[in-house]
Amino acid sequence: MTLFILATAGLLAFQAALGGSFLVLRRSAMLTDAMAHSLLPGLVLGYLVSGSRSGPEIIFFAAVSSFLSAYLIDFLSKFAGIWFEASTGFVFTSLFSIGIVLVTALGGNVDLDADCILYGELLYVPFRYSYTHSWYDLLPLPLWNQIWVSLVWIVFLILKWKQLKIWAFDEGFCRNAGIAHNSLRRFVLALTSMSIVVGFDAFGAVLVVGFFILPAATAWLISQTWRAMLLNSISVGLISIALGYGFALVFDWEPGPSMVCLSGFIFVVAAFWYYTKKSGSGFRPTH
Amino acid sequence: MVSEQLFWIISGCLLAAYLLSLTGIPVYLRRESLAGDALSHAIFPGVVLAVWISGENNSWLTYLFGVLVGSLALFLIQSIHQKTLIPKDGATGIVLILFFSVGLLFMGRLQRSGVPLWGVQHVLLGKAATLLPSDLIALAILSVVGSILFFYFQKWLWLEAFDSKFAKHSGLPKNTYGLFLNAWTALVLTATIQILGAVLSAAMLITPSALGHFLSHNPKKLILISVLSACTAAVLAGFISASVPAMSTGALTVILLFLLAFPFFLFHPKKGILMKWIARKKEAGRWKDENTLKQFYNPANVHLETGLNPSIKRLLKNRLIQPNNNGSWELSPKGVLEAERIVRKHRLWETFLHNRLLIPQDSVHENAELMEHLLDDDAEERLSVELNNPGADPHQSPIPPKK
Repeated sequence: MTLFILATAGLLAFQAALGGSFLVLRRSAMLTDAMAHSLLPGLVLGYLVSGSRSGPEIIFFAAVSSFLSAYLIDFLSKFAGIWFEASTGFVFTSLFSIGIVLVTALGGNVDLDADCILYGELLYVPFRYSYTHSWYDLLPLPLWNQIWVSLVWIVFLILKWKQLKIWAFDEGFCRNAGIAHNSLRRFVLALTSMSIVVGFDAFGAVLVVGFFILPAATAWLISQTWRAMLLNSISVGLISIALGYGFALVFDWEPGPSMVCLSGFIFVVAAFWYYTKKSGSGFRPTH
Repeated sequence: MVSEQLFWIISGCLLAAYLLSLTGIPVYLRRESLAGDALSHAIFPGVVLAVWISGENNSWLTYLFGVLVGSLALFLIQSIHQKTLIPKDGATGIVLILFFSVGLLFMGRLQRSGVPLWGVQHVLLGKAATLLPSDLIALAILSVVGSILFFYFQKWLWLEAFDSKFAKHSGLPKNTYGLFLNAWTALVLTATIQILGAVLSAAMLITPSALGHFLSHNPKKLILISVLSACTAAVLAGFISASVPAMSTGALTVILLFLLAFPFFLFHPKKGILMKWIARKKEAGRWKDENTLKQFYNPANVHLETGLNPSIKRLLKNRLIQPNNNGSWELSPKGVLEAERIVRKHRLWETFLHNRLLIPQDSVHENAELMEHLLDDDAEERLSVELNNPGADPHQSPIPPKK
């Protein structure tokens, strides 16, 4: 039971550490927050199409809607000259409102209550199986989702390791070197939206964002190289999950928020360490 | 009875829209829109704390804790950004998530130990339908105070937004101003998130100013557009939600604002994405046409173009080329003039690069290929005078005289 919960959370932390490292370095950390909110209309559409609460349609529609929001944000800020942060705020709040109106318009027929959107159902993870009476029943459904998305991340990282490394640090150089940085960004955002959607199921919309931003930011402060940054952010994510779950059991807290708080605590410690040390630690990518 | 309830809902949303759009202008212009979004989530633990201590919703304690926690959040965003190398949006995300999850942790803990937390869930999704007169009074007071403050400090506000260094040297106490603005934003959001919910409040803070700033850079027009659009959307949403059962007024307001702003972003005659796209296409077409004309001008490749590509079609339509006897095209008298104009610019620029900038003769062509499309007639004439009206370019091709 506990193992399944921890494995699900751990895989999410793994994906989020990878995606978060790119997005924090590329100054797009708040895009994850926007994407986590904008999956709502897709979620409702998927629910309407499939009629179930956890079908693949829901995951597909929600991921598409969250990816489209990121695309639209980039599009508006690039072509309409709207400041990036304003474009972010404009797009995700609008999509979120559309989602809210869809949910309320469907009224009591919808089994999508605000609580599960915001807080997730981490403790129910071990009880949700596919019930197809096949080998797929070996592991809970949310864990399978995490495994598939993690595999996609790993494959993507192996295929594009060098290009991604250059893109994360120097977009201008990327452009000059002829690396298709726009499609790299789109790929990272698409994978991020998939991670958010499968993670949101267990953790709720807002907490998923914590796994993306906090470990990556912590790792940035304490790392000297790109490889170290990825490894550190994965470890920070895993440590905060293990400790957060332990704290949740001991003090009777909600496990999701507890994990994110732990991760935030680690960030605060790292920030203080960085501030007092203030040597040449950390690296600063160019714009 | 229904109409009375409708009145409450509409006035509540209207006041919230007015207050948020006005407060949003300095927040937006200081490029802190996302901090506004973070703030609307970060107040959450403050509200939970206040409800826990006072045992009731919407007490003065809520406002006090909202302002304190909100100011602390904004201060932390600023410090994280300044003291470490984390960029601003990363710092914003960190503070948002951290405060929000502390709030969730706190709320969950209190709920499990049986403490009633009235109305805390409204903080997240709003409750325009169950608006109380006390909420309205709070909003009305804030609106009046906000308007007075806004118009009294307007001069500093614009100065700070457009040139914060100059504002500082003109005597604006920058830190105090920032702290005050943060506290005010936190106060306004504490009042509105209980009605609209966190995300929708953030929307009303950001979207009207974004629209106003997109449409006009004139301060008065910016205020007018953002406040008017927000208020119109709120009133319309109020009426629509009254006729549709179980409709969230706040969300509807934001959607109406979106429907109002998005067409402008796409179809604005000057700045819209579509118009910019059309202008780019036109410009690309002009370059193509000029290059085609140049090909016909060169007697060595008269037989080049026979097909009907878009460029040829445009040139035919403008009577710049005409069919010749070989089933191909040739320049019309008008086309010859036009082609000479482009070739003249090309060769003048080559001469300039070679004679004045001392660029070798074999590497001037590429640059001239671009400049021939960019030089206007005035620049061309001055260039010609500057070079003493040369008769031939570095490759000894004749420069057609100006006609």
